[in-house]
This record gives sequence, C-alpha cells and structure tokens, in this order.
Amino acid sequence: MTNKQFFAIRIALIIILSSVVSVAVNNKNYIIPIIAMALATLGLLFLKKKVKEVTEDERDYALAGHAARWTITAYCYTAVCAMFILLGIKDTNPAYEIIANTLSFSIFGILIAYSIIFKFYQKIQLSKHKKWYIAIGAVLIVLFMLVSLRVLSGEDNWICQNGQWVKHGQPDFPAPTAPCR
Amino acid sequence: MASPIFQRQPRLAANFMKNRIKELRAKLNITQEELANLAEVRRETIVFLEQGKYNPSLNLAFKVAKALKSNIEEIFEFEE
Repeated sequence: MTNKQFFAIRIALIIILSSVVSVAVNNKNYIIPIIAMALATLGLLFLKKKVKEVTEDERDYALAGHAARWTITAYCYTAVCAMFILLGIKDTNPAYEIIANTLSFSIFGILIAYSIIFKFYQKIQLSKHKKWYIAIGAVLIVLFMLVSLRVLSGEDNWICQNGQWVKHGQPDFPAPTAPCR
Repeated sequence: MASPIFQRQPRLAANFMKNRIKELRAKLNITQEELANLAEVRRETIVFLEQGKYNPSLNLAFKVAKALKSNIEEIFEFEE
C-alpha cells in the first residue's frame, strides 16, 4: 500500500467515523461511538503496517512538536479569556459558570499532562528501567482518568423527577430554568 | 526550574546549513525518491534538505552521507 492510498483511506474512515459518532450521540447511544473509535484505531494501525513507504520522519516529528506547543498555548490563552468572560456574565445564565469551570479544568489538565509527559520522556530517555516508567505512567493515566470522571461525572447536580428539579448531592448552582419534563 | 511549556523553545532550524546533496545525488544519478528510501525519510524531507530549508539530525546526516557514499563534512557546511 502506498502513502497516498493510506491517507485516502484514513480520510474516508474519519468521515465515516464522525458521521457514526454524531448520529449515535444524537440518539443518546454512547456504546457505538466507543466501539467505532476502537475499530477505526485498530483498522488504521493494521493498515499503517501495510504501508511500505516511510509515512513520517524526523522533520514531521519536529513540526508536530512545534505545532503541538503552539496549539496548547493558543488553546490555553483562548480558554482563559473565555473563562473570565463567562465568569463575568454568569449572572445572566448559571450555565456559564459550569462552562467556565470546565474550561479551567481543561486548561489545568492539559498543562499538568504536558508537564508530566515532558518529564516522563526526559526520564525514560536516560533510564535503564523503561518498563517500570511505562507501567507507572499507565497507572498514573488510569488514576487521572478516574479522578477526572469523578470530578466531571455530575455527582452534584439537579435531576428531573416527576416534573420537578430535585437536588442530587450538593450542587453549587441554582436549578435549571428549563422546564422539567 | 520553570515549567517546560513556559521555557523558550529553540527555533526550528534558525540557521540552515548549506549542503551539496543535489550535486552529489546528480553525480550518483539517483532520484530524490531513491535517496529518501536509502535515508529512511519522506521525499519531501530530501526536497527541504536540498533547498537548505531543514537541518537534519546527526542520525539523518550520517544516513544521507552513507547513501551518497561520502562524509558528512563533504556534504554539509556549517556557517555561523
């Protein structure tokens, strides 16, 4: 398989995957997107092994690093600005505060993840115990995901029950103004 | 020590090295594609190298030198 064929298949797969995910999410089905993403990832990994040409090299990695750094910087600055604007106008709609909090958590998460991954690569390059570092890294990622799920799971929220908004946990924002059906 | 994201990153190839890749490739009568395969990079990287718009890693410089049956010093010229 040539590079061109691989890229064409990859674009087609991305279009199909995004369609499947959007339709499934609209139908409130979250299992299909996960399965579809897993299948697409495995499929792409399989196809990549079939490509005999060089698909990426050191120049791509250098550019990718540069692009990633600028993407993180741009996202963080934009998200911080949006967060302050949303916090400033939160009185007009309580939902703005939730969005602002989510943005601040995402900035925090990205910066922490970047710093940890940076240190991880630094350590792993010098270390003779690469497997240990990889295992510790995997455990840390799982822990981070669990903590993130707990924080973002919406434990403290308003739940619609019998046509009324009922407190679940200790939400620190007022009940939604939208009708409860 | 400041977080790495706030540290000033080195510019991507601020001073580009001159090289004789195109000349030596013509002497050996090999295409950019063939040289790319020998050096295990994409053809675009060879194009950038020949145009002097990319500084290769030491690893790539050695591979290019080997593919062109030459030495690094004969191919690349560093200018301050």
